[in-house]
Amino acid sequence: MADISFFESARTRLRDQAYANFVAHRSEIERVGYGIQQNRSGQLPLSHITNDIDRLSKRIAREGMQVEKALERINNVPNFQDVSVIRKILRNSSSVCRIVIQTSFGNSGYGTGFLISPQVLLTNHHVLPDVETALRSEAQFGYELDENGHIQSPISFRLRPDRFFLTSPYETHPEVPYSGRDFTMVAVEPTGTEGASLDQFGYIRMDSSLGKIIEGENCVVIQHPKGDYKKLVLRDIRLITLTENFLIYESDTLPGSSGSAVLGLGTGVIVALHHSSIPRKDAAGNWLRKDGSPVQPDDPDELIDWIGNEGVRVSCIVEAFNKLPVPDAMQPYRRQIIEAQTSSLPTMNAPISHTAPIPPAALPAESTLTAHTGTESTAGLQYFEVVLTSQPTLLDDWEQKAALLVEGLVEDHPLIPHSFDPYIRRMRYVSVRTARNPWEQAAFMESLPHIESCKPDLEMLTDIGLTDSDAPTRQGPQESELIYNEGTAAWNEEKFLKDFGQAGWVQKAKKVRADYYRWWNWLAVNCPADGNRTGKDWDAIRQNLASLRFVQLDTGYSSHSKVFSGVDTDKDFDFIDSDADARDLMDRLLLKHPGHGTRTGSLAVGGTLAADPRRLDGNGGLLNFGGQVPARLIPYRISKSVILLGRGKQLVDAAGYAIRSQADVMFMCMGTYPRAMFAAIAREAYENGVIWVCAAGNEVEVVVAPAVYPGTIAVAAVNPADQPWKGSSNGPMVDIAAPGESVYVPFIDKQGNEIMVYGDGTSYATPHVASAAMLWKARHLDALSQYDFPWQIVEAFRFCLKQSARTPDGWRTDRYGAGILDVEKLLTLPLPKKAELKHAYAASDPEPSKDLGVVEAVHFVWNILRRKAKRGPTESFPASFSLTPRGQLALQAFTAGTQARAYEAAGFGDQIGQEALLREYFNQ
Amino acid sequence: MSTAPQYFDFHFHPAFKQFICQFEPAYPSTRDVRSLLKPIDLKNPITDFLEEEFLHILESQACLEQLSAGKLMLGIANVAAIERMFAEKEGLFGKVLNSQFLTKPVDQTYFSKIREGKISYYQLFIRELNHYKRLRDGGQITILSRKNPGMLDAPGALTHVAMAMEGGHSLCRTLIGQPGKPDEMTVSGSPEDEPIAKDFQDHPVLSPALSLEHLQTAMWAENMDLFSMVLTHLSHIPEQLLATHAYGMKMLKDEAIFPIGDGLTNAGKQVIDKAYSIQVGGADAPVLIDIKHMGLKSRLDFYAHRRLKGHTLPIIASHMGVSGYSLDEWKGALEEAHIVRLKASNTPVVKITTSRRVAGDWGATNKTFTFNPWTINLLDEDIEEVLNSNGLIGISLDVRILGWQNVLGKGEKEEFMSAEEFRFLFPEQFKKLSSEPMAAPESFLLPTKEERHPLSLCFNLLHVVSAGRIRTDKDPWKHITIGSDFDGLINPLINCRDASRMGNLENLLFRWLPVAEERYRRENGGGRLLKVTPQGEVDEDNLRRLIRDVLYENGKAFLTNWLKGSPGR
Repeated sequence: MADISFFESARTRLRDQAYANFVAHRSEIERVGYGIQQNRSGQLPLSHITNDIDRLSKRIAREGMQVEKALERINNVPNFQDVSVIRKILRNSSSVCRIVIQTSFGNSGYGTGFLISPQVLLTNHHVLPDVETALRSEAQFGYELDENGHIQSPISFRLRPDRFFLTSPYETHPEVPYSGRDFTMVAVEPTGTEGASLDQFGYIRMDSSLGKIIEGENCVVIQHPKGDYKKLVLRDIRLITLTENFLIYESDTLPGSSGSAVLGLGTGVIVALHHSSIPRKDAAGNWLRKDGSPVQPDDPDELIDWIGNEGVRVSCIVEAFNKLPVPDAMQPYRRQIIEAQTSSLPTMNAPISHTAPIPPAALPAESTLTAHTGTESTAGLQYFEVVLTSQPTLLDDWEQKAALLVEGLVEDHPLIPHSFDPYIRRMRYVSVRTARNPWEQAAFMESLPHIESCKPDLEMLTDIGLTDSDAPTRQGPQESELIYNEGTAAWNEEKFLKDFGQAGWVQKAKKVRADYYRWWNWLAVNCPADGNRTGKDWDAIRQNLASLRFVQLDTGYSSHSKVFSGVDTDKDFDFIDSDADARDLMDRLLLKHPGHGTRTGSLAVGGTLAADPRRLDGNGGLLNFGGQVPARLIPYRISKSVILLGRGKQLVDAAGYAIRSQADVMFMCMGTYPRAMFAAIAREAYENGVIWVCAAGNEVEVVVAPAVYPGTIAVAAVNPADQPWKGSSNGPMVDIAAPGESVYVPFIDKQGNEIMVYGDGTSYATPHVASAAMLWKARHLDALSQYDFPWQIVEAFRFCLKQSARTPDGWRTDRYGAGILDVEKLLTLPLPKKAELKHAYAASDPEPSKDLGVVEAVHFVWNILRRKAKRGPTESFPASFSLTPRGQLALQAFTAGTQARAYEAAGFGDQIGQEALLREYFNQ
Repeated sequence: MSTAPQYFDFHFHPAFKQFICQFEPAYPSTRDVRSLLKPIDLKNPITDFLEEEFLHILESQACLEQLSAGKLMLGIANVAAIERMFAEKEGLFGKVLNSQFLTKPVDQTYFSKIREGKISYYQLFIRELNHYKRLRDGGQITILSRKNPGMLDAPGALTHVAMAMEGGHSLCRTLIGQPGKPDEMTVSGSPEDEPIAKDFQDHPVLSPALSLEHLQTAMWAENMDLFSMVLTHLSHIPEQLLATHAYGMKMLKDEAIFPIGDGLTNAGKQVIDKAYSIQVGGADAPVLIDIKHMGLKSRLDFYAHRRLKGHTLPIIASHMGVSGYSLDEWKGALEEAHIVRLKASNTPVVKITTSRRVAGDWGATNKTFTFNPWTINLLDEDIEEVLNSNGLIGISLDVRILGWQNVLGKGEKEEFMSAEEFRFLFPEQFKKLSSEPMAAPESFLLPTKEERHPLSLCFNLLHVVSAGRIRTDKDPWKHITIGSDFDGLINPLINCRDASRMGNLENLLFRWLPVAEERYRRENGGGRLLKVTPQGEVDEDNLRRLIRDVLYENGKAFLTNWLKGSPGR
C-alpha cells in the first residue's frame, strides 16, 4: 500500500537517478550551458546552441513562416513573446490541478497533474503509484488566486482508477515494458463538488513530434509547489539537453512539484512531465547544500543546491501509452485520450470563470487552419471518407484485412450505418493514425485496389466564414462600431429605412402599423399576421404542428430571450463536442452572444424580447402563435462557429440522427463545398421523406452544399423591394427565394443588451421556407399518407412551393428559383397527384468521384486562399499552407501560373483561376 | 377418467427455426409438412466449442413435436420477421447465425437477402405465416379465428394457435431499409387462391396502419385471424418507426440494438387506432396491442393515447418479467448514467445502471434473487394498466428477463435508453451527464445455475400478484399466464428447457411458489399472496387451481372470450 513515505522515498531515489542521468550527459550539458551563458550575454544566437539540425528545422517549421523570420522570432523569445503564446500557456494552465494524496492513515501529500483528455489526467507514477492510492486521492482544479489576489474556490474531483489507470513505474525493470518513465494516467470523475463539470478545464494536448523546443530555449513550469496555489515559473529557465526519455532543464530556486507541466515558452506546447529535481552532490555522493556543506536529514528543500530539473519527455510518454496494453473495460478511456490527443483542436468546452478570456483555440483562428494543412509530422488520428470497390471479392478482402492493408488503421465503420443504398453502403469512414500528410495518406489508400476513392475529412469553412457575410447590414461610416468578431452589433434601423424605406413591402407594412416594417418579411411571404391565423384550418395546423419534429443544424442555441422559449432544450444535441448541450459556444462562455443558430432560428420560432426599454422588438417567428410555439426547434450543433463547420462527418451524423429520429423538417443556414458524404446524407434524408431546407449560399456565387443536391430545397434571398440580394448564390438548382436582405434578427449590443438588427444572408431566407414546410406538413398531415413513398412528401412540398411562388416582374427562374415564397397560397394549394411527382434522383447516377488532387486544391482554395484573400494585403501566406505536388498540379491547371514568386506560381494569386476551379468542382 | 393436463403458452415461435432452414423461391410454401414438425438442431460439431448455454438458444424449443409431447395445446404463435441486425455478421451471434458452416441447417438465402435489403419484412412475415397455414391445411394444427367463435368450446386433439405479429416492422412492405423501393414476391399458382399474396401484389406499398388492415382482411379470407401485435421488436427500424423500443439484446454487435426516439410516433398511434378498429366484412376484427419490447416512454405514451382516444380493449404483455419497481421507485434506483455516443454514427444513447430490487433470499449462502430492472420489464404501473384493461400478462421463461445474480460484471448489467427517453424520465440530470464513446457492446450473458432456478419465475409471478392487489381491485391470479418465448432465441429456465417439459413446470411451481411467497414477503412485505388454511398453511388445493389457471385456464378463457368478440379476462 502506497503512502506518503513511499512518495518521499521515491522522490529521494528519483533525485539520485536524475543526478546519475545528469552526470552521464555532463559533457553535452556543459556545452549547452556554455552556449546559454553566451546567449544570455548576447554573444551567441539562441538557435546556434543546438547541434541537432533536424530538431532546429522542425522547430522553425512550427513557426509557420519564412526561415529568417522564424529564426528571428525564436531568438527573441527570451525577451519578446507573442501574447498569443502566453494566452495558450495560460489556457493550458487551467487544465493543471493539485493532486491531494490521502493516505490510509489520513495524512496527505501533494502533487501536480494535468488533464490530457476530457476525463483523464497525467501525473507521476511516484505521485499515484497504484489504484489504491488513486482511489483515496483527488484532483483539485482552480486552486489559485484570482486577479485581485483573492482565493478562488477550488473544485475537487474524485479519481476513478477503476475506469482507467495506466502507469509506468519510476524505476526501470527489464521485465516491465516501458517502465522507468514515471507517469500515471488515471480517469477523473466528470462531475466534481457541487456538480461542477470537469470539462470546463479543458485538457492539454501532448504533441509527440519534434520541434517543440530546442536546447537553450526557455521552459515554463506550471505547478502547485508543495501544494501551494498554482504558479507559473517564469524565471529564465533554459532547456539544457534532451536524453532518450528525459529532458534536463535549468533549476529554479525550489524543486519543482512532481507532475508539473513543463512547456516550451517559444511554442506554448508541453514538452515534459516534471518528475524530479537534481541535487548537487560531492564526490562521496552526498547531496550538498547551497553553502557546499552536506545536506542533513531534516534540511528543507530551500537549503539544497539544485543544479537542474528532469522531466519525462512527452514523446516517451506517448510511446509507452501507444504500446502498453489496456484492459477492454478501459478501452473507452484509451480511445478518449487518443481522440483528445489527436483532435485537430485542443478542446476547451467552457469558461474557467466569468471573466476568463475566450480561449483562442475555441475561436476559428488561423492556428486552426494550420492544424489541418497536414504538414506536421505528428502521428495523429486522421479521418477519411472512403468509397470501397463494388467488386465482391475485394470487398470481402477489405472486411478481413483492412487493418493489414492500411497501417495505423484505428476504426473502419460504414459512413451511414443504417443506409441500404448500394452506393452509400460502399462508403466507409476510416480513421488512421499516421504522421503522413492527410492528402498523401489518402493517395496511398486510393492506390489500393479495394478503394475506389478516398478523401480526407478535414474541417471546412462555411460559406459565411469565407466572406464574413451574415453580419448585420453594414452601416457605412459607422461600420467600425459593428464588432462582428465579438458577436455584438449596433442597432441599424436608420440605415435600413434609408436603404429600403421606399421599398414596396416596407411601405405596405407601414400601412398595417407604424412599426410593422420590422415585419416586412411576413408581408413579403404572404403569411397572415398572427392575429389573423384563426379558424378551423389554422386550429388544425397548430394542433398538428405539436406532433412534428423541426430540426435545425447550426451553431446551437443561446439564451437570448427572443428565441429561447422556442427552443426544445429537451432534445438538443451537440455533434461537435458530442454532449447533450447544443448551446452555442459563445453562450457557454457566458457572453450571451446570439449566434448564427439563434438569429436564424428567430425567424421560425422567435417570440418577444424579455426587456425592451428602447422598443426595438419586432418580427416574430412564423411558427410562433401568440407567444406559443407548438413545434419547438430542436437544435443540433454541427458547426463550431458561424465560420467553421467542423468535420464533415459531424454534419452527416447529425443529419443521420435527425433522419432516424423521424425529423419532419430540417434546415441548415450555412454550407460549404460539396463532398461525397454530404451528397449521401442528403439523399438519405430525401428517401426518408425529411424535408431538408438549405441556404443557397452567401457571396460565393455558386450554390453550396447541401443546398446543391437534388434532394434538398435550396433557398435564395431577396430584399424588401423583391429584388434578389446581391450576395445570394444562384443557379438552376435553387428552388425558391425568400426574404434574406435586411431581415430583422436578434443580436446584442456592446453593452450586452438584447437588441434587434437588420441582417443579410440566405441564412435568413432559409427559415422562412423551413417554417412554411412545417405549416404545410401540419396542414396536410393526414392527407400526406396518400403517398406511397417518403420521398414523395418532399417532392409534393417542392411542387406546391414552386406552384404557389410569387414571381415579380423580370424574375430569373433560372437563377433564383420559381419565385418568392407565398405561405398562404402554399397552404391552400391542393396536394399533387402521385403521378405528378418525379424522383429528384431519377435521372442522375452517383456523381463520379473527383480526383484527389482537385479536391485538395478545392479544399485549399476554399478554406485558405478565399479567406486569406479577404484579409488585408499585408498578410502573407504561411509556409505551412502548402499543397502536395498533386494538389499543386491541379491548382496550377486552373490558374495562370506565370508569376515568378513561389506561392503565386502555385496559383495562389489567381482568383479567376480559383473561381474556375470551384465552378468546375461545383458543376456550376 | 382423468386426462393429462394441458398447457397454454402466451408467446412462442413453433415454426421459426423450421422457417429459416429452407428458403423457397416461390410463395406459397410447398414444403413437406412433416419437415415442419421436427426439432431443428442448429448446432453442429463445429459449434460445439461454444458455450453450452449459448448453443441451447440455437436448439429447437417449441416445434410441434415438442408441443405435442408437452401437451402444450393452446397458445399464441408469434411470427417475428428477422430484423436486419440479425443478418449482420458482426458479433458472435451474428457470426454464428450468418455462417453456413456454423449453423449448417440454416438457409443463408434469407440472411443474405435481409442483409442486402432485397426483401421486405412484410414478405418475411407472410412467408412464415404461410407455414402455419400449411401446417393447418396438412392437419397438424388448428388456427383460431373469430370467423368460428366456438372453436374452443370443444377443442380437438390438435394444438390450437392464434396468430400474432411480433414487431410492427413486419407491416413494412418496402424493401428493408429502403422506404422508396417496393418489394416483389414470386407467387406460384393463381393469386386468387392466395389472398394474402394477392393483396401484397396489388398493394406493394401501404402505410403501416393500412398494411395492418389489409393483412387482417387477407388473413380473414384465408381463415386466419391476427390476434395481437407487438409494435416494436429488438431493433430500431428507421424506415418505419412506430415506437422507441426497449433495449433487450446484447448478443449482437450492431448499432440498431440501441433505442432512438421519444416514444410513440404518429405512425405508431395510427397503427394502434387502426388495430383497435379493424373491421372485416362489417364484423369487428380488432388486433390487440402487446406492450412487450416497447420502451418505457412508448408504453406511457401508449396508455395516454388509449385514454385520449377512449380505447378499452385489453392490453396484453405476452412474455415479460417484472422490474419489481413502480416508476418512481425505478427512478430512485438509478445508480449511474452516461451519455454514450456510438462509434459509427455518433448517435447519442444513455447507458444506465439501476440497482436491482431484491425478490427474496433462498439457499445456504448468499443466494439472493433479484428482478431484472431493465425497462423492457414491467413496472408496477404497467401491471396496473394491463389488469385494469382486463388484459393478460405472460411471464417469460427467459432467465435473463426473470432476473439475475450478483456474479455478473458491471458491463453486463447496463441497459441503454434513447437520449430523449432518458431526458423525459430524468429531466434534471441529462445535461450533467458525462460523455464517452463506445463501440456497440457484445456480451453473452450466460446465466448461472441459480438464475435458471424456478424460484426466479415464482418471484416474478408473485410480484405481479402483489402489485396487482395493491393497485387494482382485480384478482391478479386471473390475469397471469406463461409466455415462454420458446424458439425466440431465448435461454430458458432450468428444467423447462423446451415445450415438451411443460409438465415439469407445474410441479416446480407447486413446490416453489410457497417458498417464494414466504421469501418475497419477508423481503418486500405485504399480505399473503397465496390462500392459506385456517391453520396458516398454504392451501394446496387452491394452489393447484392457481397453477392450473396460470398454466392453462387463464389463457384459454382469454382466447375463448376473444373468439366470441369480447376479449378480456
